[in-house]
Amino acid sequence: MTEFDQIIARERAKTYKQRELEVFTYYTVILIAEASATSRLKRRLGLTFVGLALSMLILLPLLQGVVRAVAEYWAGVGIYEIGILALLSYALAGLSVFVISRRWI
Amino acid sequence: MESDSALVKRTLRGDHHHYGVLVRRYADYLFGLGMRLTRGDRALSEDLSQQSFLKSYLYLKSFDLNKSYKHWLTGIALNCFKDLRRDQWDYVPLVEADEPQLTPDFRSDDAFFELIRPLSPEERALVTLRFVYEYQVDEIAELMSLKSGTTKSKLSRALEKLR
Repeated sequence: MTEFDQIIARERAKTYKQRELEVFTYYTVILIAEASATSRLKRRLGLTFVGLALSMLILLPLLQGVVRAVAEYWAGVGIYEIGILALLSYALAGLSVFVISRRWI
Repeated sequence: MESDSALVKRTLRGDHHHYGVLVRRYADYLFGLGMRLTRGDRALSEDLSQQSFLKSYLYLKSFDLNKSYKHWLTGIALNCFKDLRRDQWDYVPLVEADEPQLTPDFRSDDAFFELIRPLSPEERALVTLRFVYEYQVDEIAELMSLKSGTTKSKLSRALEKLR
């Protein structure tokens, strides 16, 4: 048996052990969970972005008509109508606050 | 004991904590491989084994369930070793904390590390896989993404260096 064979045979018989197997496993699993959560989040963000872009593309022509109608309506509105709308808005806001506070109490 | 492929299947179903069993099962094996490839650098070996597990998890979908998980993991570890070599100039080993040494100092018998000292990292990997882990030349070629003939000639060149 040559010296090379002897060294190789000794090396084969040797076993190496992690310093702290439990800590290593725990930390690696945490890293894996983190990596998996990051990739899931990225995938979801990508999907949301594509969904939003697509819905904007579909809704934009429809919204243009609505925006034009609103602009035309506001062009002919006087101080009296604005006062009524402000009153209605405050009433709606107050009602919403009342309902929400009742529900949470 | 649950088989490797069963655990991989469970992990792929979304229960990533099952991968912890595989991590525990092969942690020492990968650490040993790392120690041999890095010539006894403990910090680098720990880093290498951790990177290998992380990468293997990320590419788990590409794992062929009919093949050996250990063999596949070895290939990933070798790739990580290649990447580590590429970045080794930027690598700063973690500062050893003043913690009690629970395992014997491996440097007490470093004849093997001395033996492979004249070899390049790639040759070190080839010699380790062929003689310590007793892989066949074709298997090494597959693991290291080399041609069989190239692997053979690189191995004989490495052996010549050792003479």
